[in-house]
Formats: sequence, C-alpha cells, structure tokens
Amino acid sequence: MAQAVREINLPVRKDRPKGQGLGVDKIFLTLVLLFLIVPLGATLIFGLSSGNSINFNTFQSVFTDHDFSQTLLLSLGLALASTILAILLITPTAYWVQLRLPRARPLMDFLALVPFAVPAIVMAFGLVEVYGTGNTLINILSFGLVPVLSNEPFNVVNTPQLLVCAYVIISLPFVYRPIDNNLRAINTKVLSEAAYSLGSGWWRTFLTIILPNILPGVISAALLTFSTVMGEFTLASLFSIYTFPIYLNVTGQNDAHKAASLTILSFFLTMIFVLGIILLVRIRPGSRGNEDRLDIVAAK
Amino acid sequence: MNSQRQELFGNLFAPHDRREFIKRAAALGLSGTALTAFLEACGSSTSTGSSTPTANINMAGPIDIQTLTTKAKADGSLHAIGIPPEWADYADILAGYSAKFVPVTYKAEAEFSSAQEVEVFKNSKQHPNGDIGDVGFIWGPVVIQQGLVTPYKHANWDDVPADLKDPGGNWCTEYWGAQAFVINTDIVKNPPKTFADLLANNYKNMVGIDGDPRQANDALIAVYSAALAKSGSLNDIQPGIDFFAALKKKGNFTPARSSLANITKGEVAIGIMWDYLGLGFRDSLAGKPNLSVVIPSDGSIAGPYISIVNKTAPHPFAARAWIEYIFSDEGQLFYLKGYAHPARYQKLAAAGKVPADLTAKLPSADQYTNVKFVTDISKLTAASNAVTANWQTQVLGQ
Amino acid sequence: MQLGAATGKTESVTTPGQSSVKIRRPAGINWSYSIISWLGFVPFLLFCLLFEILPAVMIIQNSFLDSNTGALTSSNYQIMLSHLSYVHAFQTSISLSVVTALIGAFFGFFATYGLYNLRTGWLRNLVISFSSIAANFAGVPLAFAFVSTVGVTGFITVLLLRWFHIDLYNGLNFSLYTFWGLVLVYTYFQLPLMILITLPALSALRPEWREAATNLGASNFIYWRRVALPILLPSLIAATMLLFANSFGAYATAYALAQGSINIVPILIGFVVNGNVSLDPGLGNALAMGMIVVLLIAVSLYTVMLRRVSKWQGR
Repeated sequence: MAQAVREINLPVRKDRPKGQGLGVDKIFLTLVLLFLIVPLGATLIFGLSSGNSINFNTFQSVFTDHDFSQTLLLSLGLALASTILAILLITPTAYWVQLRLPRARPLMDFLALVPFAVPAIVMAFGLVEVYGTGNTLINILSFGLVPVLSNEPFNVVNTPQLLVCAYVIISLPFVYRPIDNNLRAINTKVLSEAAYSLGSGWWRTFLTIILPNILPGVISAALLTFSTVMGEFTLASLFSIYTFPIYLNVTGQNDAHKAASLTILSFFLTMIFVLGIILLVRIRPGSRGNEDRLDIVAAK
Repeated sequence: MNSQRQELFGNLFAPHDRREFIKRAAALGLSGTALTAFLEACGSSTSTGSSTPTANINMAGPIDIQTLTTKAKADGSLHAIGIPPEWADYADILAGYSAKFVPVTYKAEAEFSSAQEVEVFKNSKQHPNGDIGDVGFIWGPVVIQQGLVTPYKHANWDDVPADLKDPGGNWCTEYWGAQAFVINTDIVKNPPKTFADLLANNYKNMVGIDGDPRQANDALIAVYSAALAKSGSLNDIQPGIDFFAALKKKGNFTPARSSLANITKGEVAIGIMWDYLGLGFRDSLAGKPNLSVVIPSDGSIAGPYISIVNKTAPHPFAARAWIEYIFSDEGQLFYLKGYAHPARYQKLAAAGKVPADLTAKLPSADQYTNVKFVTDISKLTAASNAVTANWQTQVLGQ
Repeated sequence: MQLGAATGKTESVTTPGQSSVKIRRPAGINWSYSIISWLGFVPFLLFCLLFEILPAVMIIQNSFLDSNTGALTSSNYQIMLSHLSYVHAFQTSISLSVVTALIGAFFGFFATYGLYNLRTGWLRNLVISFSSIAANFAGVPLAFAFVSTVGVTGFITVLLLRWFHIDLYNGLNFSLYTFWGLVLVYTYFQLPLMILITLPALSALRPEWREAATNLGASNFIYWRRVALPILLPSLIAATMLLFANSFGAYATAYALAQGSINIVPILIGFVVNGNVSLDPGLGNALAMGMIVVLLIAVSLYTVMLRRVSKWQGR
C-alpha cells in the first residue's frame, strides 16, 4: 500500500522540490499580513498618544483594576467551556455525518450557517425570549424541555451555562467548516474501513485514527471559538453577565485613547492565550512532517 | 385540600408498600404543583412584583426616606439597566446612591439602547430581572402600553413641569439636554453659530450627527432641530431632512458618527449632538483638541430622558430609593455637574441651591432661551416615521 | 479507491481514469441501519433544536405578529416586500457579501498556500494565532482602526497628502463611508477567516502528486489546473459560502463605521429592534426571516455546485 511505501521513503520526502512557483504565495501572504497589521498599528499609535507624548498610564490603571482580572477570568472560563463543548459535540457529529449520513450534509451545512446569517441581536432576543417567556408553541416543539430548563430546578435563564450553549451555536460555523474541510482532505472512508476491517470499533477508530489526522481542523475550530467568545458582547450583556469585552467597552467610553489602547491590549492578550492552546496541543497545524507520523499511526 | 394533604403527608412517612408510596407521592406532587400554580396566580394579581408589601406602605406614592432606606437595605442591591457612567455624570450619581443605600449592579447593561432596556423589562415578567431604566422621552407610552412599568411619584413630583411627566406616575423626566454644535476649533477656523451657517460655509466632510436618525434619539432631534431652524415650526420634520440632503449635496456632511473617538481624532470636526455630551468631551479632552460648544441660535430642541421602574422588579424598594435619589437635590445637582439640565432646575435655581461655579461652566443662559421642547408624542412619532420613510432615499441617496 | 460495503444503497465506484460504474446493491433499504445512522445525529440535533432552531421559531412567530397589538398579521412581510428601500437593502447586502466573499477567498487562498508552505514552525503558529483573533476583530474597534488608517484624518490619508500629494477624499473622491469602504473593512476579517478554514483542507494535497505531475512534464499551471484545484475545489467553495454568510449577517462593523449610510439588512433590523427611536420587533423579525430565506437559497445553490464539483471524487 502507498502508506507502507511512504514509511520507507520518509527521509527522501522531506526534501521538497525547490522553486515551486514564483513565490507568489509568499508575496500574497506578506501583503495580507501587512494589510492586517497596519490598522492595528494605527490604533496603537492613537492609543498611546495623548496629544504629543507616549502614554502608558492606560495599561497601568487597567491592570490594577479589580474588574479587569475578574471579567478576564470569567471570559476565559466561558471561552474554554464553549470551546471544549463545541469540539466535543461537533467533531464526532461531523465524522458521523461524513461516514454514515451523507444525506444529512445539506442539513448540517444549513444549520451551521444560520447563526451567521441571522444578526446577533435578533438571535439574542430570540434566545432570551424562548427561555424567558412561557410560550405554548415553544413548549410543545421542544418536547417539554424548555419549560423544564427555564424553571426550577434548572433555571438556566440568564446563567453562564445558557450563555455557553449560546456561544457554541454562534461558533458552530467556525467549528464545522474547518473540521469538515479536514475530513474531506483525508481519506476518511478508507481509513475508517481499514480500521473496521482490523477490528476497531467506531469510537476507537474515531479517537485513535481519525482525530489525530484532523487535528489541524480541530485546532482551527478551537481557536476560532475561543476568540469568538473572548470578543462576544451582545449576548453576554443581554444575559446581564459582566464579561471582559463589556468591561473594555465600558472602560473605554470616557477616553478614546484609552479605548484604542484597550483594543490592542485585548487583541494581544487573547493571542497569547490562543498561542498557549496551540503549544499545549503541540502539533503544528498543516506541517507535513507530522503527517508522516500520523499516517504511520493510521497504518498501524 | 388541607386535610387531604395532611393525610398524604402522614401516609408518606409510613409507606405500607412501594406501590402505595409511589401513588401517594405522585398525588402529592400533583397537588403540590396545583398549589404552586394557585399561589403564582395569586402572586401575579398584585402589582408590586415579587416581594410582599407590608401594610400601610403606598408603593405608588412617595415613601419616606427612613422606611425606604431600611427596606432597600433589606432588598440588598439595585440592578440598573441602561445607566452609563459617562453620560450626564451618572458615575457620581451611582456612587452617591451606593453610599446612601445599597450597591448597584449596572456594568453589564450600561450601554443598552432603550429598545434593549424595554426587552429586559419585557422578559422580566417570567424571571424578574432589572429594577430601573433610563429611556428616551418617546418611550413613555410604549412602556405603559406594554404593561412594563409600575407608577411611583417621588417626593419632589410637583417640581417637575406637567408636560415632562406621566400624570399616572409611570414615568418622569430626570434631565434634558439641548442640541448643540460641538466644534473642533483647531480645525474649524470659522465656527458656525446657526444651522444656516452650516449650509452656507465651506465645511467639507466636517459636519456629523450622533448616529443615524432612524436609530439614535440624539440624531433624530438634530434633524428635528434643523427643521425648526429652517421652517420655524415644530409641525413637520421634512425641512430638516431637506436640510441634510442639501448639506450632503454640498459635501459638508460626513456619515461618520460624532462619537468621542471620532471627535478626538478630528474625523468629525463639527458634531451636532447633546450639549452635555459635548461639554463633557470638552472637559475630558482638555484642549487636545480644543472644543467649543454653542447652542445654534436659529433652532435647538431639547431631549428629555425619563426614568422608569420595572413592574416585576426584584428589588422594588431599592428601585424606589433610586427614584427618590435622582430627584433629590443631591442627585439633580449631579446631573447639572454632568452639564445636563435637571428637571427641577427652575425650582432649584429659585431656591438658590445651584452653586455659582456650576452655572459658570454651562453655556450662558441666554443661549438656551430659544430651546424648544417637543412633548407631544404624536409629533415625535410622526417625525420618526417621516425619517424612516425618507432619510435613506433623500439624504443618503439609495 | 475502494468504497465500503457499509451502506446499503447504490453507489458509484470510481477508479482514476474510468468513468463511474454503478453497482447495484440488494434492493430494500436496511431500515434498522438508517435509524441507527440518524440516532447518532440526535445529540447534535437536540442541541441545535434547543439553542438554534427554537429561537428561529420564535423569530418566525414574532414576524407574524403586529408590533402594537400582538395580533396575527402578514403586514410585516407586505411592508418588507413593497418598500423599495428594503428591497434595495437586500440587494446591497447580497452584493456586499458576494464581493467580500470572493475577494476574501481569492486573496485568502494564496495567503493560505503561502502559510502552508512556511517551514518555520514558530512563525506559522504565530500567524495562525494572529489570524484567529483577526478573524473576530469586528465592530467598533475595527471601524475605528480603519478610520485611524484611511479616514478623513487617517494616517495613510495624511501620509499620501503630505508625501505624495495624493488627496484621497477631495481629489480622488474616495470615502471610507461608502460601499467600497465597507468592502475594504470587511475584507479585514474575511481574509484571516479564509486562512483558518482552508489551511486544514490543504493537507489533501499530497506532495507525491506534485512530484508525479512534474515527472510527467506538467508545468506549474497545469498541475494547479488539473490536479490541485479539482481536489481543493469543494473545500474552497464551502469556504466561500462561509465567507458569504459571515458577511451577510455582520452588523456591528457596518453600523459603527457609517451608521445607516450603507443600506444593508442587518442595519435596518437594528433600527427597529435595537434603537432608541422606534420599536417594531415584528418588522425586525420579518427582515431576519428574509435573511434566513436568502441563506436557504444560497445554501441550495451551493449544495448543487458542491455536488457537481465533487462528482469525480465519488464523495
């Protein structure tokens, strides 16, 4: 099989043929990165300047503010919980649909795009009203789950738990697409059937063979969810939960320079946490060196 | 029902066999739910929300401060919806209230629009949330019609002019501001004094309003003020829409919002917005850039904001304490410190309670002589409808 | 490439170079298998039901209610379809989304390929982290960032004026607060989003195919046209669809930038649902339903396109 051959040829494969293309891709990458960095730089310059001098007071006052650490921790917790729940829920489902329910793909695609198409405020109002107001139609359609959840003993209305579930839905497009793309990219069917024929059950196949191969997709999904929650504003404020983005917004109201500095601060703080997630998982997404290792895992 | 329940309870503690136990437990559960439903039905027929009122306290009329303080402290805290600390010195008001009564939770909902506040009160019917709110004048009838508010006439009720409050006590104006020009004098060398100046002079890409008039109250009243300046009457906002169409055609109008960030940056050099916002910007920017705030002499309309108490407020006494506080001398003077005109300003000034240094910081009183109030809700609604219908096509050209 | 015998339906089996051959499996659907298949989907469906579908039902229900009286009515839809400005709003929204999706997909794809080929691991991780945050950088901060850059007093505007004597606003009649200004701003989060969702898909390109193609004499262009793009096309189309939906529902950035200057549907919804002047949830929900319908149509077109493009893969 091709995989066994690849195993033997490992050292040779590391040398990529040089001179692929004109480096157009590198030029595009540089241009795109420049395009992304320049507006941030403009914001930072505006934030640090107050009139004519450079001013780091903003950061000082923010770091000593009690609200800063409190809301940051809360947002981090929400982000982690949403990320984990989203990955746990959607990755097996995406695999399942790819393998056993290709007919459900259009439904999956539609469900995974609706949260984008409906503006956040409408979705937020809809969600709040589903759980906040007693509505017979909703009660029937939800098989009686909604009244159970919104009243004692669960009482999820305006709680962080409900917020986390709402965040999972908001991030659904971000999670499903990279994982689905990755499942398409690897030979999911072949790998799965090879595993079945060797006696591996569904879960074992998923956890030991498919998951390591779609790790780039899972990581993309996790990162996007994390950063979505760290920046989400509308739902949290409607639930009366005081999160980090809300804190930044309120603090920046009095002073435009402060608001600009806080924007950059939030950007880089979230980036550090996201980098942490990548390093924690220790796989470099998209690197071909690891593919060899992972394919060997598959061939086992 | 009582004896039946007693019997069930008794038998529950001495189940003879499992089936009996389950049967009785189920019956108890069913009667339990029936009882709860009965109590809930009783509870919802009173008008004062979750906590039971003690006898002799009139929840709608003024309550004396002593009782209010004790009861508010029993409530524990106040949940304020839509109270931004940077707006009309609410920061000091919040601090003052917390010192006198109970702590306030306000940060998550501080930047709420009036529609969001109404939504919170609407959803509070089933799960009580939110005690008080501060919404635009036009929302008074809406919140009454939707049954979201409870009446409370504070101790200084008679000091507020009649057209600025609801006769039934459901809402009351706490403060108002007038439309002003907030001019960046570093950029603008020939500052305008009237709406006519804005159109006549060359202010390329300089004139902005505080949002879209179909969404922002501030922007709507700016357009209405232009109508007043152009036509001299308050009956129709169309001249205002025409004015901005002409302004855009000339190139003076910028779609950028006259927010603090844009004014600081100079992106909007002449902002038409509430005077108290502009004056606050002027002070906080301290010359970087230099701002000058003038009330246009040919037309300026005032925009009152009203305070409302949630019908299903989880902290009803703390809510009423808030109302008392913001209408007390201390509260009203804080609004003045934030450059807004408190509703009781006339009475306070007549009683000599307004400090001279505070009056000095405001624009001179003669600038305010031409400021008009539009308290007829039908006029405001008509104006908003006209803008919704025509702003896009006539001004923005789409 | 063999396909499994797991499913009890007719399947096409394709081997490279041959046209598809249909293999008839025994007729009669294996119902127990179908039901188990759908059972695996249930947890996710239940979750979506509770937190996505039911709010959507709420939206549908409210769109048929009159905002003042609460009575059942179709007037919200009548208003939406009859007023020209609402129809124009849908047109502008759709064209904005299509344009930003295509731009994001095109430039984003090349940038992703460049990232994929990047050998230094730490730099790649850095760029990926940066992109994940940039993909969500929207609303007031993004709008202000662009105002600071190319606004009337933006530093690039001033730079161009002082050093190159190019007057963006007065001379070239450029304005950030127009349709194309908004396209520029939207591209800011479309590009990194494209990078993050396409990067996993690029692992489909086996280097040995590249080598084989080169060995057989294919030029760079032929390789891309005949080998790489056909493999990647389903993922690219799916990514473009995501970019379209992302741009379609975006509200905060457009409002923060130009208030209502650009006539798009989310802003119109914001006016009646989240404003300080009027409240008309019936109309707002009707507009939201309109957006869902547009999305439905877009997804159907996309599914058809996808099916056609994936046909040769037998997937």
